Amino acid sequence: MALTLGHHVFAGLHEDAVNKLLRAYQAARPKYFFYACPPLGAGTPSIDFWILPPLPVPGTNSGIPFSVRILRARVDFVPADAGLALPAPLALGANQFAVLLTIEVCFMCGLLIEIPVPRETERNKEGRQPAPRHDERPHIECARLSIWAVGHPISTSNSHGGRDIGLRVDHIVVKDVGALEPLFECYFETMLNSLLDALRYPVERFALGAFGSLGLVDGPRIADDQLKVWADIF
Amino acid sequence: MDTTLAVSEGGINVVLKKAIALAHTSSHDTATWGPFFASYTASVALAGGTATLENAPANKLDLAGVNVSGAITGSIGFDLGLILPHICIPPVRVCIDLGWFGEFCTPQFCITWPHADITLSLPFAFNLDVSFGFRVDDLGSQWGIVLLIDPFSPRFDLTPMGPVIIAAIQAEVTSKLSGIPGIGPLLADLINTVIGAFTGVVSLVIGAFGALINAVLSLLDLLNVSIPFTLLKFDKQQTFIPANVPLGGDAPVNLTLAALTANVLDHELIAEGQLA
Amino acid sequence: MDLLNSRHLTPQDGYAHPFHQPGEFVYSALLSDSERATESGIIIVGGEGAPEGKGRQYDIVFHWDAAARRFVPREADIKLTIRPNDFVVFQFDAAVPGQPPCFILIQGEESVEGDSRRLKTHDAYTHFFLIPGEYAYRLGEATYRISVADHRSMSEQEHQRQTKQPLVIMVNGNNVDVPHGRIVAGQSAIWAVARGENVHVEGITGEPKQPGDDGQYTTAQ
Repeated sequence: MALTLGHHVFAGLHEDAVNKLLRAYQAARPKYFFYACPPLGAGTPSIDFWILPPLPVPGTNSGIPFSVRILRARVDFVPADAGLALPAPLALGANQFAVLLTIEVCFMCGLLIEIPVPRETERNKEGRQPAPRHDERPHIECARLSIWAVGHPISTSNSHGGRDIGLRVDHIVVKDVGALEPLFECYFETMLNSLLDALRYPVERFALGAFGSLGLVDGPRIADDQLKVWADIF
Repeated sequence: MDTTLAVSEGGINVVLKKAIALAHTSSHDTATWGPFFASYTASVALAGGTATLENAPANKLDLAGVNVSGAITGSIGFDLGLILPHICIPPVRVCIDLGWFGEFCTPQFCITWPHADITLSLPFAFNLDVSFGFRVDDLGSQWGIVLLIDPFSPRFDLTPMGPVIIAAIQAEVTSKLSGIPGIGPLLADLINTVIGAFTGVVSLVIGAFGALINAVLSLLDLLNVSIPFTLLKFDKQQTFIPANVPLGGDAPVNLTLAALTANVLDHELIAEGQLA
Repeated sequence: MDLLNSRHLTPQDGYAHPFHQPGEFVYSALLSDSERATESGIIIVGGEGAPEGKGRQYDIVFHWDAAARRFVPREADIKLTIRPNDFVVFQFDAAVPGQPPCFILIQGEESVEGDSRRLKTHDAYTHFFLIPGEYAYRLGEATYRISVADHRSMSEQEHQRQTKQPLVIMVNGNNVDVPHGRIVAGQSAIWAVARGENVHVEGITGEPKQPGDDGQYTTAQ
C-alpha cells in the first residue's frame, strides 16, 4: 500500500525526467525557447524561433529588433535540491516546484524598422519627411537575466474526456534588474505560464498506456522530488 | 529512477480479471479402446480468482481459487458386433411337417449387430491455484512485464462422468436392440455384456478426458508454461507531448524508455524506468 | 422394410431343394450369371432313397468372404452325401458389411438341377421377417400381401407363442393359398411350390397401404 495508497495505480515522474523532457522539448521545438524579430533570429522563422515585431521606439515611427531566448531551464521538485538558493520572498513549500531560467534579451542597436503607425501615415500624406536614421553601424547588445519561479501542479479537463496534468507558476523573481523588477516579473510570469501550458500532459497517456482505460483519481501532487498521480483501472 | 509505476494488488486483480475473462479455448482428440472409439472435445473457460503479491526476493504473484469450468463433448461409437456374441434367432429352431419335404426346419436368422453411438455432454468444474514469477522482457518496440507460471498440476476428479456415460450406453443399446425381434429374454444379458465391456475401459476413457483437459489448460495464454504472459506493456518511445499540440506543425516531444525493472515491494508491483 | 425377393437372396432368406434322383451335383452361390460358376461344394445323392415325405434336412450355410468376394460354405458342407428324397436348405450366416445378394445354382452333369431364381415343383423359398410393416409381393401376375406386426405391440410370451409357427404359403401354378398373411416380426414365411415352374416372389415397394383386409390367415396343413 506504500505507493498506491488504496488506489489501483500510482505513477511518479522524477524531476530528472522532467528536466530531460525540457531538454527534449527544446530540441524538438526550438521556437518555444527563442523569440526574435527577424534580423536577430537564427535559422528558419516559425521553426527555430517565433517572430516578434520590433520594439517601438517613442519619437520615431520605427522599432528596434529585439529577442528573448531561454538559455537554460531547470525544474526542481520539493524537497529542494542542495544548492537551490531561492531568492526571497520565494520558498519551496509542500506540493510545489521551482523553475530556474537563464534568459538572454538582445537588442539590435542601430537598426530601425519602420512600423506602420496609422496617425503618422495620414500625416505622411501631408508631405511630412520620413524620420531620420542614424548612420551608426547596427550592433547587438544582450543582457542575461536569472529568473526563479515557484508554482504548483494542476490538472485540467482535456478534449478527450480525460485530464491533463501541468505546472503553473505562482510567484516569480527576476534578480538584478533594479526598478524594472516588477515589470520584468509580470512580463516573464505571463510568458512562463504560457510555455508551461504547452507542456500539459494527458495523464491517461502518462508513459504507461498499458492498462487500457485509466482514470485520474488523485494528484497531481509534488513530493519526494516526484510529480505523483494516482489512477484507477476501469 | 526517472519514472516509477506502482500497481496495487487491487489493480493487479483488475488487470488479471480482464485476462481471465478472455481465457477460453478448446481442443479435440480421438482414441480407441477395444471396440469403443471416441471423438471428443474439451472446452474450458476461466473465471474468478484472487491475486496476491509476494515481496522481493520472491517477487511472485499468487492466483488462488481460479474457477475452471468446461465440458467434454463429442461421441463414443462402438460396433456391437465386436462385443456381443454370435446369436441366431429364434434360439430354438422352428420345425414343422411340410408336405413332400418331411420335417422342415426354417433357417435361423443370425443377427448382424448394428453400430451404436452415444453423444457426450459432460460438464466439469474445479478450482485452480497457480503462482507466477515476474520478468521484464524486451518485446522490440515495447518493454513487457511478463508473468512466468510455475509448473502446476490441476486436481480434478472426473469419475462421476463414468456412471453418466454408462447410463447413456445402456439407453442406446436398449434402443438399438429392442427393434430386433426374438431376443427379448436375452436383452438384459446382452446389455450387461456391453456395459461390462465398457466398464473395463471406463478408467482409460476418463483418463483420456483428463489428459485433454490438462492439454487444453496449457493452451490458455495465462496458463501456458512455455510462453510468458504479458501483464503490462510499455512503449519504448514515449511521446510526452504529441505532434501538433498545442499548435499545428509542432513536432512531437519524445523520450525513450531505455530500461525497466520490476519488483514486488509492500505487496505492490513496482516498475521503475530510466528515460533517455 | 425387409428386402423380399427370391431372386436376390439375403441372410434373411433360405432356398430349399429336395433331391429325388441320384447323382453328383455341384452347387454355388453366385452374384450374377457372368460370374464363372466357381463351385462352392458338391452334393452326392446316392444309396437307398428315403420314403417320400420323410426326407432328412441338410443345412448348407454360406458366409461372405469379403476379401475373396465370394460366398463360402462351412467346411463340413463342402462335400455332402445324402439319400434320394432328402432335401438341402441353403441359408446364410450373419451378414457382413458390403455383402451382396446372391442366387443358388445347383448343376448336375447334364443339366441345371436347381436355381433359386426359378423355383419349381417341390422347391421352397423362406424369408425371416425382421422389420414390421405392410408387405406386398408379386408372384406370377397376381399381387399378394403379408402384414407383419411389430413384436413390441404384444407381450414377450405372446410373441414367443406366435413365432413357434411359420407362415406356410402353398404355391400352385401362380396361385397361393394365403393371399394375405398376418404374422409378427421374428416369424418366417415359407413359400412351398406344390406345383410350378419358374416361380419367384418379388416384393413391391411403395405400394399404398390398403385399409381393409381381404384374406384370412390359415396354417399350413
